[in-house]
Amino acid sequence: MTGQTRRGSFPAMSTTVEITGVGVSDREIARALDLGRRLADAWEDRFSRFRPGSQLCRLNAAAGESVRVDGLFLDLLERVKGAVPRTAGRFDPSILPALEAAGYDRSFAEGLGTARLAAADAPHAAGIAGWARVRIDRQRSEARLPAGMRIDLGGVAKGAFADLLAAELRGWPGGCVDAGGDLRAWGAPPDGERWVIGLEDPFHPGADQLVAELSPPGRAAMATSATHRRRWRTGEGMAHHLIDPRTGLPLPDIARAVTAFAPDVTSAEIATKALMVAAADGALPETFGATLAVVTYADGKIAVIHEGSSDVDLFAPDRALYRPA
Amino acid sequence: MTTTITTTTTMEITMTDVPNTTAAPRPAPSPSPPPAYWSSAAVSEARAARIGQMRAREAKARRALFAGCLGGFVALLGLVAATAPPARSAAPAPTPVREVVAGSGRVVAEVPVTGLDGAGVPTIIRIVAPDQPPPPHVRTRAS
Repeated sequence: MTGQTRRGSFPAMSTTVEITGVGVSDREIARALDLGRRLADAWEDRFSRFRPGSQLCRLNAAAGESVRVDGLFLDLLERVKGAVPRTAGRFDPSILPALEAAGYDRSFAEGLGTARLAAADAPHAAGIAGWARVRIDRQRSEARLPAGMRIDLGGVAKGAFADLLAAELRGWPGGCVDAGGDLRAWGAPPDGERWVIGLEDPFHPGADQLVAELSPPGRAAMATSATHRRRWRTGEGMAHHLIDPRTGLPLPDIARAVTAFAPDVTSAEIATKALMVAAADGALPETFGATLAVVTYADGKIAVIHEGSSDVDLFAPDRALYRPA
Repeated sequence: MTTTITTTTTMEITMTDVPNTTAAPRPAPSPSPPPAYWSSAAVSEARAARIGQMRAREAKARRALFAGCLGGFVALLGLVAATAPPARSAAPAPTPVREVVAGSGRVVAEVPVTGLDGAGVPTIIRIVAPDQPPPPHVRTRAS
């Protein structure tokens, strides 16, 4: 199962995209990186809320009117629209006004403001009823948001990008696309008999709290959401980017991280967001499309849940063992 | 399920009532006929014995018929109960949570996943809490 392993990376979507190829040549990895850069640039033209003129910015700016978008944009918008009722509104990208009100109104590279968080002022998400009024017209290649609704597809778009790029490289004997922790791995691992994937410890970023092994030979898609990254200071303490759609405020400090395994990265991304909200509600073990999910709570305990099972394994690892050397 | 049990009880009561409501009342003992001039006591005794035997056979047959009907009905109810879909509970059951301690190299979860990329061979995802995690090939993380 072992082959020559080559890696390369490039910056995109406010993170780093890394491509691992097993049993491929230097030329093939260079070609993949070039393809990845071009796809990522086109992806940001579609889905970035920080790139003026992107399809997403135009759609948000013209809420209430139909806007021409391309087929890939409609594909993702349709998936998102379907996911909102399936997760009972726990996943809801119409939190953009709330996210901006909380201070995340520009990219981290530009430095965030010091917004104040007030429950009374927090804009709520559009919810299931709002999403039911989102129009998708495939024949005209148009989409329309209800007036006043604005959406952020950041995380789920990153997941969909990992799916797209991995599909382009599926002819390789083995490989992995890692878009800032949104992963899709397939085929032969770089060494040994199985892919070994670290699940980052939110209490010790850079170290792993658990390890996932994929066999044989292993293919899987996964994503992680956590509150220890994309944090900023506000007038009332620290805020983070995971907004509760029902309150319009950053989620309370109940779950620190969720990793979800799913048939594709887009589904895993949707599941992590819904599970973060569900964990705050104490509403596990619904998995929201994930095959397997690992929830790390603020008290250090970890819950492992899987699709079709009503059991939750809850345990507290000895974190001292996982500290980086 | 509760409804079924209630129905069963009702039907059993009904069945219990059946012999009481449908069984013919026993005829009141008729006055002994006056002895005919041509009869003899031995003939009358033999006739009474035959009538008694006949009544006993009839009563036995009725009991057997009732027992058969009751047994069949109970068997039918059992068959219905066994083949009926499980009733939905009104409230969701509380989530069973197992508190466990992560031990050395403990496998926390092992889940087979099929259908990825249309592949027929299942991938097994094994979540492990090792003492010394091996260097991972890649790492999933928030970004």
